[in-house]
Amino acid sequence: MAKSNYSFQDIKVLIVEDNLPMYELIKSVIMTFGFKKIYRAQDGKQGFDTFCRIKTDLIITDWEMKPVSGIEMIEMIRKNPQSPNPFVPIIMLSGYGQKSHIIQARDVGTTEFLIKPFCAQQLYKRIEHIIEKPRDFVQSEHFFGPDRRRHKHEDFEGGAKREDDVLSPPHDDIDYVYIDVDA
Amino acid sequence: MTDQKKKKANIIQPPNKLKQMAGEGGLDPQTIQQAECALTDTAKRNARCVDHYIAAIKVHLKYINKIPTDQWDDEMYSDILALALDIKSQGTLIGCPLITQVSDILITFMETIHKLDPKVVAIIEKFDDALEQLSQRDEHHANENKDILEKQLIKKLYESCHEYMRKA
Repeated sequence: MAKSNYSFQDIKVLIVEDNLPMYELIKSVIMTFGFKKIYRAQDGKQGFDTFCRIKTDLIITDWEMKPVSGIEMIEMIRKNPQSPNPFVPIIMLSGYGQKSHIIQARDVGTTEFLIKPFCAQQLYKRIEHIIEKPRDFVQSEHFFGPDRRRHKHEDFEGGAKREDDVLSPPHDDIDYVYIDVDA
Repeated sequence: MTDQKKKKANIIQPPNKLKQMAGEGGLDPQTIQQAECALTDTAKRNARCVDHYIAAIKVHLKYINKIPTDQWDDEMYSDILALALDIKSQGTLIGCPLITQVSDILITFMETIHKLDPKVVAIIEKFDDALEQLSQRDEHHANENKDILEKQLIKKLYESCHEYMRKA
């Protein structure tokens, strides 16, 4: 039996990109994927306003834009009370490839990060990941965004750090533990 | 006992709206291949944009060189960085990965130095000239020793960056 394709035609996508040729590149790729409802903004401020007005289901954004950058826009979307959906998936598409930038993007609440130049397969993988493996959101005093701990290692035997982690319940029946450090 | 404030984090599981709308199945490899073609075609249609960005860096540098160094500001720096990012984004897509590679070295250098000074401007000029050469060379496909020359070019650019960092 033939595998059916995702149906993207009703999903509203906002592309925030100041560079017209780059916008056209992204648009050509996602249109081929089957997206039909595509909106454009040219900086973070316009992006936030368009998002509030259209309530798009997915955002693809550049980093460097003036006067308001993609990073500032993500902060607004995640934290501003006027944001219609602080949980909206956001893909950051940027020429910045250094680890420090990726961490900065992650720490403001970016869902996925893709370095330019990109290929269609990479962009599709990010979209597929958002659909099939959505991450929980974490809300704490200093952070609001997708859980930054992406991988859960099955073989990890250490204790859980979060208060509401229930992976390692306290062992009330253990009085002491003997560890042979020379073993 | 110390009165340590407990860190609290709420875990929220938002509804997966995209999954509800997209349904099951994924995309077949053919569709993704078509998207790759669409990407390449669009990039080729806009190939000359790279020349425009390279020329724009020249214009910025010319302006910067005309005014006193104490008037150089962060905006001048970020304008050039933004153009370098645009060049990097398009190099590979228009079939010239070396343009991406060279602009990436420039971006890394600029991110390390954070601001302009006359020596930095001179280095950016070298990069821009190299990018211009690469852009034109790619158009004509005309040199037998292309690989060697390209390696030498990259080596020279790296050396200018290292030289600056050593003295800084």
